[in-house]
Amino acid sequence: MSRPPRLAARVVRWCAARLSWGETAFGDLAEEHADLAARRGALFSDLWYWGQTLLLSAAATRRLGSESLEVARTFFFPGDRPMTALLNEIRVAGRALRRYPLVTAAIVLTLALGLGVNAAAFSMLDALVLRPFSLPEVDRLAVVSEWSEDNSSPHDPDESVAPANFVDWRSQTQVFEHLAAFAWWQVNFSGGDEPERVLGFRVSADFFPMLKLTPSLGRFIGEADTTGGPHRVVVIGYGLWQRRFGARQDIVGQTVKIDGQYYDVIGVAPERFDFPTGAAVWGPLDAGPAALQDRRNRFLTVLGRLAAGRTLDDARAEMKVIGDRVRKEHPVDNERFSPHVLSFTTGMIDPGMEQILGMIQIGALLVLVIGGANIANLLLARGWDRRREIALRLAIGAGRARLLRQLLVESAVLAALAVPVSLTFAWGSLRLLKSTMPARILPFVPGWADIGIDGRLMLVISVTALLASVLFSIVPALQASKPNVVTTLREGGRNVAGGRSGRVVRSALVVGQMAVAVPLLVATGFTGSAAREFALGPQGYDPEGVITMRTVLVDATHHEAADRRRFAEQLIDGASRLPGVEAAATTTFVPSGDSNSTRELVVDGRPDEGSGRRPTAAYRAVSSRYFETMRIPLSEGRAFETTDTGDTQPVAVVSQALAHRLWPGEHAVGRRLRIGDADDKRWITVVGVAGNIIDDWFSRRNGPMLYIPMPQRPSYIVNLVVRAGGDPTALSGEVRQLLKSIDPSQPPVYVMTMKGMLHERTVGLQMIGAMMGVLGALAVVLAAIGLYSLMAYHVSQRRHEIGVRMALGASRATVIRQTIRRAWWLACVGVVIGLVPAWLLTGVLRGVLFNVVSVRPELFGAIVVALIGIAVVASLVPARQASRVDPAVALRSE
Amino acid sequence: MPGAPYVGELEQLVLLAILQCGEDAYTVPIRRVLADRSQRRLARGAVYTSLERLEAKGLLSSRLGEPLAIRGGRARRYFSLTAAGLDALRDARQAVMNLSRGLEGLLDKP
Repeated sequence: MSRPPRLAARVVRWCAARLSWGETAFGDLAEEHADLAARRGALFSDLWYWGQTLLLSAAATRRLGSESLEVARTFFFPGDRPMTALLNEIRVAGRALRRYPLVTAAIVLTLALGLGVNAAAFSMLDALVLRPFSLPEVDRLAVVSEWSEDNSSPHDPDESVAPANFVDWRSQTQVFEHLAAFAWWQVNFSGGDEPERVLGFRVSADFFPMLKLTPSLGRFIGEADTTGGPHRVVVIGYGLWQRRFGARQDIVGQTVKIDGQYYDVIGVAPERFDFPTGAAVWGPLDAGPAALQDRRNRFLTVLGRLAAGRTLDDARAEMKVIGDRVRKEHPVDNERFSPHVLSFTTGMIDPGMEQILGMIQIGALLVLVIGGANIANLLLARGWDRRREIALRLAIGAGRARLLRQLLVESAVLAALAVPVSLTFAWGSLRLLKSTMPARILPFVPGWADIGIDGRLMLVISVTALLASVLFSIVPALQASKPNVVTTLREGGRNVAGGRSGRVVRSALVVGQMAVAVPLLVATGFTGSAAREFALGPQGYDPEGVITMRTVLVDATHHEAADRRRFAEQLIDGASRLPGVEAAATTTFVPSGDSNSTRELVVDGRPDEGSGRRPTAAYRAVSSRYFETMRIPLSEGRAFETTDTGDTQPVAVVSQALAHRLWPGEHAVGRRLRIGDADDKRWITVVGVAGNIIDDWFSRRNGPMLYIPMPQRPSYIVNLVVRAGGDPTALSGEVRQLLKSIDPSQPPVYVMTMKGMLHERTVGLQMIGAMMGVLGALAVVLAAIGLYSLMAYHVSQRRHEIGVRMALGASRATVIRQTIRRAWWLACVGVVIGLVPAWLLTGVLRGVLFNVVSVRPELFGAIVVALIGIAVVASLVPARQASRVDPAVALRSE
Repeated sequence: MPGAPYVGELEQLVLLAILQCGEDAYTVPIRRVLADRSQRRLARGAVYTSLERLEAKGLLSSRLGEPLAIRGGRARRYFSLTAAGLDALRDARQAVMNLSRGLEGLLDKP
């Protein structure tokens, strides 16, 4: 039996409680829904039910509305026709705002700034975290990963599942309608014209059905393509089809060359589909006998679609049972591993993204709050200025409710003015932000293209604007609507400093601003300095003047180690001969690149702990002049020589971190080690110790690294690095040409300067730093304006008092000192209060920013001094004005 | 003037629909018969309110069935006409017939 949609049913139940025939309606709707579901399908009946829900809730709110609206109407608009009265009120508000054009402009601008940063932050949060994937029914998808129990580091659900375990899961699951796996498959793609490097994935037969997609042309990969393989078939991306094949309709059935092998094109993916991470080619996952037995290599990412009516919790419970069963059957390889289920969005976005964007959103809200305090202060000041007007209205019989209503309508009008300005501001800053993102990174940030202004954002910002303006105007409105009619009118509108309670409220607002600004500035300072350090600080090598080109050899053409070595040597020779080149070398992975490779090590003289327990190090096969080209200093021993070849003794260079880990306090040179699972069991002698480098800003800083001479282990991945005497970008054409002359079928993956590489790697952190910088700057400016306006108002209200004091002999210096002391005192109280949350925040920040942030007390000190200094500067102008009060004039104006 | 209370047009339609449904006269089939035979779209609330009003006037009586899972645990309310209800319906019909006598040429659909 089909049940109505749960949320809709709750709405219906709510309505039913408010209507005399509600219970009957609830039962009828359920019964009719079940009947429709049987006859027309679940989707139709659910839609029908939602439609009925809307009709019913309209009826219920009419009933409810007619009662409560009547109450509200008689409170706000006694005897009036509501719409006419409201329009009238808006007109009056407009007049009142025009009477204080500067104050109005200041409020609208402050509100717009505060809302603008929130709009920009929310747009990013929405696009990158809340709904980054535009796949059908994405909320029914989940990620299943395998985590090692004893591993306390953050888990990355990507590439975590062994093929044989996946096969077992898929055959046993009931909760998942589909369970699919995919594996990274970057390829050299030729067919059409020039060869190119294309990102692809090998996917299981369930992959496309799970995503509920239909191909633009042909068909997707099916069961027959994955069993008993290898089948050389591919689905190509829509963009690739348009670009390389001119959208030819007869592409299906054509042959393309991938990694030197011929593949049949069986289909074209839907337009805009590039999941996972910018994929353009999808091939069948290898389901040969060897793969089906493999429980050791965890390289699959596994996704599932929940069956109808099942939840993530059901999936977690079921996968726990299945995981335990699989572990019992295959204890050796699964000893420490168990499956975990995550929601699709959580599992597929970069770890940390939620927290970072959440932090920026919170920062933006704090800026809005600081700005809001200024608005409240301005309104309070104006409220006091309008005391006479208000007192007069009260005296001739206006109700307090009516005055309150007018002040609230005024703030709604202010919000309506601020929203378009704020959206324009957000639009501009988002455009700027998007233009700074390197194109090569884009596919790796799902949802990036969707950052922008849309209906949803407009709604969120409009609601926020209304809430904010009502919130910021409620206290001033209450204050302004309760003046003592008699005294105010009798005094001729002058009151000593706007009354005691008003003064306290306004000072408290300024103290609050300062307190909120402190944690915001601490976050800004820490992220900013981290971004600077990693983008511009010492890297352990010299990125200036180096250009790099990556290419990947394929087994079909370079199966023999000698061929791979010859290829690398030709590349180095050619590059060294280019004009303006100082040095050239090759490596498997350059620092700040997007890939890494590690090896387990066995140390001579110590017992082999066995796989999984050995020490590990990042592994690089580099040519003889690599250290010279990258300017990585050697602290001990020697670099590789041309005499370190496949025929001579195996040697290695270790990083200082690795030397320290393996032989703490001892000399590493002369020691011997061996690579864990390698076929070659000969000992490798350490001949040198190289300086540490930052290989990756968030996970591999100054880590252990093992360098092996390229001729001793020639690799498929070849990264040419070339140090130029001058501008390295000038070499990019020549380097490409060189590769083409050596092997025209070999595409470059990229040709980039090392500076560019580093920029791409740290651009995310730099953006975070820049965004936090903007928020911090706004916070300071707004807080300074708040303090300035408070002091200016303070002085203008006390002209008379100051005049009296000066007439009695107070010097100008005394007056200045007193005014500044007051500002200084307010700022100090605020900053001290703010230090508490700021201190707590640093712990959170470390977690959010992958521990790249170091807690530095001097930063705290600098922020405190800066804020108090700014407060003093902001009060200078009002203080000078106070000192210029002419006692005679001040007293005469009585 | 006959003794039974006056019934409006919608109320007449509802009473007739209940008679058409016979033993199975609860809200779902009543609304279905109304929709099918009167060729009009009647708001859900309008039908329910009419039923309430007719029962209040003593023209209808109702009884509750068993709670049903298919109705989310709610019971069906079965309606039947009281003697007064049947009288009211007869009176109304008689009034229409009396008034339309001699106008057949104008009122009958061609």
